[in-house]
Amino acid sequence: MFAQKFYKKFENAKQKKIILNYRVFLSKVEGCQIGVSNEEMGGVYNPNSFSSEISGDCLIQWPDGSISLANINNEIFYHFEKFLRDLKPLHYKDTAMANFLSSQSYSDIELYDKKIVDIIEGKSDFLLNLTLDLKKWQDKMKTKLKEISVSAMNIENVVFTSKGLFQTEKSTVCGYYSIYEEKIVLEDAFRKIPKREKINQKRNFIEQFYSLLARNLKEKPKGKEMSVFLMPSVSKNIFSHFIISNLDGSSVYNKQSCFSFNDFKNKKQVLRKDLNLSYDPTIDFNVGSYKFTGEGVASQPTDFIKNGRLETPFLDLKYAKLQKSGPTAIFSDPAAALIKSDKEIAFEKCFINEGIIVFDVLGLHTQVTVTGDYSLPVPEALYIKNGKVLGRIRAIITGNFFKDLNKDYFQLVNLKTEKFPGFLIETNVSFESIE
Amino acid sequence: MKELLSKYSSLLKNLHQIARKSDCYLIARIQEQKTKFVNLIDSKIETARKDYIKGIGMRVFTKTGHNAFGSTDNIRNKNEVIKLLKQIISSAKKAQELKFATNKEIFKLRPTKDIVIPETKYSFEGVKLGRIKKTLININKKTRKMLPVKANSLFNITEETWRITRSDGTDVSFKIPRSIFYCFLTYKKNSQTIQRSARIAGKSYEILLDKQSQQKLIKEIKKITTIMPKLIKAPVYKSGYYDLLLDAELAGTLIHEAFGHAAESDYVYTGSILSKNKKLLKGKKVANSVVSIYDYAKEDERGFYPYDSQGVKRKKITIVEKGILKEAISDVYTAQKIEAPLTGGSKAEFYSSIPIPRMSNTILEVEKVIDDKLFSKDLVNISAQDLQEFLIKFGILKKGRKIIFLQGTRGGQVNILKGAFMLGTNTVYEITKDSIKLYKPTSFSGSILKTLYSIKFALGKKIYGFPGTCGKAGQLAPVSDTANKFIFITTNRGTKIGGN
Repeated sequence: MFAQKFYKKFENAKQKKIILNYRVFLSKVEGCQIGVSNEEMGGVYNPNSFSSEISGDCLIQWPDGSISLANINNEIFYHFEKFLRDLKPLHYKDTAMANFLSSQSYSDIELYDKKIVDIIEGKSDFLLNLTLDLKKWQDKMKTKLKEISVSAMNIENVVFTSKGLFQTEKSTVCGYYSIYEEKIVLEDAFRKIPKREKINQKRNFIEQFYSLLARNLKEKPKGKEMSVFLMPSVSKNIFSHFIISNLDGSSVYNKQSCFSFNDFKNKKQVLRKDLNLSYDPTIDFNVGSYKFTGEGVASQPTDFIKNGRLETPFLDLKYAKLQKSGPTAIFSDPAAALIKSDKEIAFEKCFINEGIIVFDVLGLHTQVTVTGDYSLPVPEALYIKNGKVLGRIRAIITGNFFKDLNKDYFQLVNLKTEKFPGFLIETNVSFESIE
Repeated sequence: MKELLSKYSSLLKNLHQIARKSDCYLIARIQEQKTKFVNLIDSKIETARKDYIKGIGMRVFTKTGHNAFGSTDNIRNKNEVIKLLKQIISSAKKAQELKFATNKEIFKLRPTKDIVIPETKYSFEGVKLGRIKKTLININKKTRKMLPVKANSLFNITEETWRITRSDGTDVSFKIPRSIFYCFLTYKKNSQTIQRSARIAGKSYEILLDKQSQQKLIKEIKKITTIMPKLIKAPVYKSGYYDLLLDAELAGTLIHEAFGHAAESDYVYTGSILSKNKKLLKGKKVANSVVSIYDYAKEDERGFYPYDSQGVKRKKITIVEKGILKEAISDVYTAQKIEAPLTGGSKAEFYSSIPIPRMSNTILEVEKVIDDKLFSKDLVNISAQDLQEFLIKFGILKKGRKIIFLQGTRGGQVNILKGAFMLGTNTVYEITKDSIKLYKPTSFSGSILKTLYSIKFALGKKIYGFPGTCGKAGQLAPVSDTANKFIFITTNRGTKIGGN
């Protein structure tokens, strides 16, 4: 158990009264990766790679009650006494931060697949075969540009405190990312090796759009307010940027969110009544699942927005204490957020008379999260008229995301191949010519 | 630094011997990085932390040019490092069996030995937390006196040290000290919110503690707090194609996003707008002849690094000279392939990262300059009113004409294959002969080449740099963007503001 040696160091420092309390989160990660870059398999930008690393964070409380924060790794272990001496000058008072959990009750959550470990140990050619398949599919689609990356990780997380908490979690992650000429991304991540047909299904779905994107629209349509379908690759990023970021407990407390604690107390209506947002980190083999947070808080499902009303921000131990509330689930993977509505529909049933399908936007990170305003170039969109896909166009979508989600028109659209739904909104679209 | 130079020499020697015995070429990179980070919200420390990392990254090439890579943080465990190296060698040989891609360019390099240690006014441990906190509280207090905002100040100081060795005997070591300070302001009124930020960068604590630095920062914050209440009430400007005046911050970021990435040799090789058949379009006219673009950071500029991640000396890169494309930001692997000179452009964020071509300080210099004593003032002291008077005086702003002045940026993104860029602006002014009207921030987007062609002249000879952080392939790099104080872009169908 790799963490035992670290535990002994901290416990020893506590016994000697150098430190009063500690909380340590450690992660041992072993991984491998391979890919294609500039159409070169295993080339200089995407070679066969291996990594092995121990990293983590610690919170230390000194005998005078002040605290310090630092990272932890192998190197620090070797110089532990010097590490403590150098860290001490960077101490400060924060009583809300000084939280050290004792033993907790944790659910058993399945996160580990031996087959992924076999990949890392060189006993399986899964990564190589998947890379070759992804390359073969792109060859078949005659893409000029291939960027493919596949990876596997074996992770062991440990959290321990001076109050007797010591908990471990073993997990695996495998993932792939491939981009078809900067137009469409085919990607996924999983805790256990999926059936090949699941990957094929996803690929087939993506490739039908890629074929449609090869047809440039000849005439530029007139810009106006119209239907916009945000593919899941876009909707999850926009949702995370404008909604999840404003639910962060620290931002809410420090008045840097568009929501205040009073808004949560009063269960302010912020979305349409049929919309619910929750996060469940206890689902077996879900990429966003975990047994405990970095602070040792046990995994628990949390409702953040219920019937369109604010329930709680996501709170770590510090902000839970300041809020006089309990800690909540943390969005370890925003794509695993569960957004649900009575009005959600299947992709096959989604009809757009006139509008665009958006595969990517530029510059989302430049949009101010607290206002919800956006003005985003769309380099790859498909234009639809009279219910038919006419061809590829460039556009700019402009609007306010909070308003979009509150309109009657807004719908969640479920795709069989995606966990996160696409969004059908109505907003301003202006068009650019294709050259 | 001393430890990197002495303690690991024996390990490195051992590793190179093992690689040689296996008939392989090794590049070994050791990184040590110390960081201190302090975040203050109003007058309270939100976070203060110290981070330290150390590790080794190793890339192996077989004689045929097949390669593999590995990294570990357990550099003190010699056996583990050797075990990892053997795994990498085995993987490179497997790449050979499987006929993966090859690259033999590294074998053509000549050995180099050097040690570069820039001087700093303050040492990394030279200033205590109490003094940092006091300074940040002072800044936040002054800010809140100007306007009742939520002031979030972040200070980060980093000391990054590298030792890079190659099988040809190359052994270069260098230290990169850097610091950056951000002040994020959130202003709320009547359920509306607006956010802006000010930032300053340097090598160590001088950006916080030196009087001149503090005054510069307070001036910038004063300008921001003056405009924030007006921005809340400001309308949105109608989207369209206009004559544009960009300040240095926006112009520098434009060149970084819209052009710099397209000039990175991996993207040139992949197929950017600056290449054809994987070759750099050297000699092609890509901009108006008044435009030159360079990439080069001096020692005291953010983005500085004396050697790249392969141990190649970083050169001053002339990307565009008087409108003509000349060089790329190239690394050893793709320079020859794209038929461009090798400029030492590769960088890895961490020892565990794969090095890729990165910008350092990207500079836009416009040769045709209209100068005036107005532009001897600091950028922060030049107002929209000053610009209006100047533009009228020089006959640029005549009756019936309007110029959209775009100030500041929150960053942007580019699609290098399509040649499309997008930047977020901070403030928009419509300036006519008779009026100056303020509008909300908007997006600024378009075609890279059409925009460069439409740069007509600059205001003010002196160029002005802004610090930033660039993201590429999951790696962050400290950078600067530099330009003349103001750049004029004439109306064209490739440069648009807004989208409504």
